[in-house]
Parts: sequence; C-alpha cells; structure tokens
Amino acid sequence: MTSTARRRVALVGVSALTAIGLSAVPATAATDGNAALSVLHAVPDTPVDVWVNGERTLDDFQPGDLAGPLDLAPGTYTVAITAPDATDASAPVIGPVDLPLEAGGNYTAVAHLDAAGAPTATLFTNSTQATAAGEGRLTVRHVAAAPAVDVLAGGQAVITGLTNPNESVLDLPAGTISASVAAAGTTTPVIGPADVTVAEGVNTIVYAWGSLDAGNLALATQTVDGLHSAPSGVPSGLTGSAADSVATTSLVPGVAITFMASLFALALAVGGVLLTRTRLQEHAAQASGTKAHRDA
Amino acid sequence: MTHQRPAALTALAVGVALLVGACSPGGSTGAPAAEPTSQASPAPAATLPGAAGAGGAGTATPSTPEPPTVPVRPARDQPPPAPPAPVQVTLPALDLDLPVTADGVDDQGRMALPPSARVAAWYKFGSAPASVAGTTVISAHVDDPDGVGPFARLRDAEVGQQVGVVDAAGTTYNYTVTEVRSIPKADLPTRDLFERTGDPRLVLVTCGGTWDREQRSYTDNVLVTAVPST
Repeated sequence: MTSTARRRVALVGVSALTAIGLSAVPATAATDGNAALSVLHAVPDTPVDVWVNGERTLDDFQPGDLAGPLDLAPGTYTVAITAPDATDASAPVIGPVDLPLEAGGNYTAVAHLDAAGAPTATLFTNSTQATAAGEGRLTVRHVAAAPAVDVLAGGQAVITGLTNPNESVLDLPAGTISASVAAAGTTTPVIGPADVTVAEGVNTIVYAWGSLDAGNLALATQTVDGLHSAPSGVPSGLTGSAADSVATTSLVPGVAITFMASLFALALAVGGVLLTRTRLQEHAAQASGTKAHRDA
Repeated sequence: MTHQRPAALTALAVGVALLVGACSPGGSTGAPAAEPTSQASPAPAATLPGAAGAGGAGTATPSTPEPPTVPVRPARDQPPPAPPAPVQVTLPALDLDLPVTADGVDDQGRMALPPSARVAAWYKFGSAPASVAGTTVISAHVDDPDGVGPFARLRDAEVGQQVGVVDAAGTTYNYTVTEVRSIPKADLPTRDLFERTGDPRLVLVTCGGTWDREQRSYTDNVLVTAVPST
C-alpha cells in the first residue's frame, strides 16, 4: 500500500520537477530567492502522513522526528496531516493550513498539541539574523499541552511565562547551559535539567513538546547554522615596543619629522595665544582699570 | 530522459519537488509524467539523508529512481564536533616556535589574545587545520611588557617559506607562505580573514606599522597567508 503511494508521489514529483525545471537539494539554508522549510512532528504517540498541496510528502512520520530543511520556491503551501493509513488528504487530523513562505525565509512547521491537548500546527520563522562574534542564539518554543512555563538555566529563570504556541529568543555567549522547564513561577522541573549547547553562530531551537497530563513532556532540538559574524579586529600589539625597534626606516624618520614639526607648530600656536592674551589683557586693563584688576 | 539522471540526484530532486507539488506558485503546465518502471526495495518513504546517496550505478533495478526521500532525523540536532585545536605553530625560517591557545573574542568583539607575546591564539570559533574548509587564524601580540615578541618577525616572512601547525590530536599540518602584507587596521577585511568556507588556508596575524600612543594601538595588521603544502 505504502509502496503504491510512494510510486504515485514519485511520479508527481518527477512531473513537477520537469514542469518547473526546479533543481534543488536539501540545504541548511535557503539558496538565494528560496525558502527553507523543516517539519517537526511533536504530537506524542501517533505516526502521521504529511500532505503538501494534496500530495503525500512524509509517509509514516514519527513523533519526535524532524524533516528537512527543504529548499523551496517562495509561495503558499497547503499542508494537511492525516492518519498514516489515509488514502488522501480529505480527512486531516490537523489542517489543512496554509504556509506562506517568503524568499530567503527559514521556517519550521510544527505539528503539535495546543495547551488544552488538541492537535494543531504552527509555522515558526527561524531567525537567521547574524549573531555577534562569540555568541549563539537560543530559541525556546512551547508546543506542549501544558500551561505557561519558565525556562531555567543554572537554576535561574531566563525565560518567564512562555505559553503555547509561542517562542522566546535569546542571544548568549557560546557555551553549554543546563536548562530545565518548570511551571511558570516555580522552579521544580517538569522537563530536564538537560545540557543545551548554544554553539557560536548557530540558532539552537529547543521545543518543549508532549503533554503534561500524559507525563510525556520532552525536548526536541533543531539547529540552524551559518549566522556567525567575524571579530571586529585583531588587537595584536600592547606597548609599541615593536614599532620603536623594528618599524621600517622610511617610517621612523617620517614620524619623527612629523612629530617635531607638530611640536614646533604647537609651540608657535601657544606662543601666539599667550601673546594675544597678554595684549588683550593689557588693552582691557587700559580700558577699565577696576575690572582688569579683579580678573587678574 | 530522467532515466539517465544519476539516481541519487533524482531522488533528492524528487524529494524536493514533492513539496513543490502540482500547485506550485511557480506554475505547472501539467507536463506528462515520466513513468517509473518499478520500485526499489520497500523502505519508509522518509529515509535518512544517507539513503539518497545509496542508489548509485549498478543497483539491481537500473534506470529506476529511488522513492522520494525527504531527509528525516530525530529532532536532537547537535553542533558538529569541534575540530582539534592547534597547540603549536612553527615557521623555521624565522625561528618561530610558539605554543597556541584557543581563544574567542574580547569584550569589544575583537579577536581575544593571550597577554604574552610568546603565546599565540587560535580563533576557536573559526576553522582549524583539520577542517575541510575555511581559514585557520592564529595571532600573537607583536610585543608585550617584556619587549618585542617573536611574531614581530612575521613582517620578514617570504613567499615559499614553510609553516607547521600541530593540533591537539598530534597531527602536523604543513603550509607554504603565499602572501605577506601589511594592512591598515581600519581596512582589515575581517569577513574574508575569518572566512569559514572556501579553500583551507592559514593566516598568521600580528600588528605592525607605527604605534599610535593615543589609541595605544599599532596602525596596521601584518598578515602572513599560507596554503596547505602539496
């Protein structure tokens, strides 16, 4: 059965490829003018099929799995999620939902539970803005059947009151943090603590998913790399002693001459100012004897 | 025609084309489908990325594309393991032999360096000699309170000289100097210098030019570029 489905999908795929002349491969980032789409299955216990524009795209997609990223032409894609034995997308358990994908965008579509435990889907935009040299980005997304949560790092709340289906984004110095998730306003973990590596120049996206009532809350992790930027310079001198001793001969006399000329010009200027000031004071003294004496 | 396409390529392309679908905004003209003749062994449609490359020449079902493969993995992404850090750099022609530490950025976003001019720093967020691509950047102060440091001699480097870098795995990487230049600090092409893609290369960096007493900084950076020796 699944073999038949696959064959039909393959056929449509080849036809679409031929028609559009599209040549694309999975990539970590969208190529110029395209969008990158990943899909996360965050509904516990239930394998599903994912249909895009009416075609089965992911067959028997397992909870906790991440598909993509795929390099797609910008546009709106209609996604439906069905039971794994569906013969078409006419009776979805989630959707259909329209995913508007913009050129250059990086997205993750997540099939998950809402706060009350009903299946739903959310399209998140993954930040690919450059990170400062030495920093990474941590994105935390609440896609679990659970009330508001706090995210604790090293026992301290770094994100507070995060609710389904929202996210919080932080830029942090690169490193590994011990993260846990607790009900908002509390410090008793419902997930973790777990080590989360925030790599330099990488957006590390952590999903809290599952169901609090069912006792299957868990973390899923996705990374989007290539956000790094370069250090702003290389300050590799401390005292000037290398310049004094080994600066090239053409530079040293040049600098010395410039320096001496500057000194001479400064002396002239200072002398001029003093001379002028003296004359002014003399003039003022002549004009108003009382005032000149007070100022002096 | 598609039957001539390498299987791996076709599998990947089909996987992508699937998501584009017949209702793509790119517009479908409803071109006739290329009929696949048969299918390869039944595997889950969503297979690991590696599977796409497995359908090379010489399979039991020639001229048949693999089923569509959208790459799927458990959502437990980890950054790739860091390459071994450089621990020693040598440039025998200049009598240079320095230990190397792994450093990141200072509080102003510049490359961080150890205080001693007798110790070099490797930019730990960039490429390393074992990396398949990108620039390994190693820098040392040209001077320190103890006086002029060994990297002051970099300005005397010449094209063709050999540079050695030993990493934490004990592997020695040999490079040949291809360029020596001095650049005003304001013009330092940092994006290019700290490039993490492109052909592997090594750049040794220090300061040069004149000392600006007010800025407490040299005017220039001295860059010695070297490429892996063949």
